[in-house]
Amino acid sequence: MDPSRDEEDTKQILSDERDSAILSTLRDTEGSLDLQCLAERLVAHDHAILGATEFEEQLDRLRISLHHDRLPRLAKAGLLEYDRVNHVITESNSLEDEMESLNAEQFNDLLAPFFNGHEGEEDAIGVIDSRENTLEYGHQLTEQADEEVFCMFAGEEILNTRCLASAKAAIKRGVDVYIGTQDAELRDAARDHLPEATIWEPQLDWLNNPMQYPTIGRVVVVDRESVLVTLMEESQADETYVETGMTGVGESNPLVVLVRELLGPRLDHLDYQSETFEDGLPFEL
Amino acid sequence: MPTRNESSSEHSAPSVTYERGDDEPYSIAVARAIAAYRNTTPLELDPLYDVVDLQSLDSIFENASESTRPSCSFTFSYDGYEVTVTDDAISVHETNGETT
Repeated sequence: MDPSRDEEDTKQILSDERDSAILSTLRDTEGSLDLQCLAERLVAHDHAILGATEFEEQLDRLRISLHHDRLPRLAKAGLLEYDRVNHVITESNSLEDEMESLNAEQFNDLLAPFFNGHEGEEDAIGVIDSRENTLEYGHQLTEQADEEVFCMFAGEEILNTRCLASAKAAIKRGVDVYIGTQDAELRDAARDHLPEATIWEPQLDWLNNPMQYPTIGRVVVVDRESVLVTLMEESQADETYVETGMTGVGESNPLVVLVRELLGPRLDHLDYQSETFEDGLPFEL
Repeated sequence: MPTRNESSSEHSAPSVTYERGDDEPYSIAVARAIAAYRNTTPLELDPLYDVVDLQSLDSIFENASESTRPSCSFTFSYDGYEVTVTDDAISVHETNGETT
């Protein structure tokens, strides 16, 4: 089998909704579970109400898809172990080891600048508190762009006049502007205001994954070497959102590297259904 | 629900043609067709992942336009059988004397 397929698979798994649901279900069990249990939980997660016949059919399809495709794929990527004969899924030890070593070393490195970093250093990660300041920083980044601005929004700040102005100015300078949002109305509005920009619907579910983590509010990547990522955290007291920004500057900055790795396949390949998508297939059509 | 037609074609090897249900994913129909041919259940078969990328198989057909889809056909070998996927059916028959 083509060795590059493994790498491609791991990248896909990082962004695939079904795969991440499988992994989080497995984590919740703290050990192992069988194919039937896993499939039942996933179907229950997908559909609130299903007739008995339809439930059986969905369950059967899911079991087949898990056994023939998802589980072997995840096992190959080292994310879980799958006993193909007894249909038992267990957590991968190697994954835990990997997470632990990541926690111990890289994570400390990643977090260190939060506490004692100096802005401007190549490996420093800056923190910006408050929504006004993160918006301002986003504009500054856009104004500095030479080649490319890539951004994703969860909210409607794209229609903010200052945002539109800096995006327009960038387009005028010959910068390629990409804007992604999950909201169809916002995409239409952005298309009206910025006809030269590339508007698309993010397939990445980490933008609005309904998990307990704070959700991502905005991602701005400029010239693939400056990054702003904002987190939206709901305040328990008054249900308002608090936005915090993380920034990284420089090609080898850890935040920039991380975001580039996650977005890489999308930056080069924005549309899965584009004409060139057939080139990426592992066999000839 | 899809129906299963068993027929002995002009060739000596027996074959199974499995008619895919309207909303049945191609990958699911493939696993069920091979299971029907082998007279077993899809879960008793070795994962198809070893020989074919099912996600890509589904996306080929799903992304084909209405007009080109009927002419799409994809064939692969699995455990000594030849499996051919077309828009409305999956056929499975023995590979004639070939070993892989």
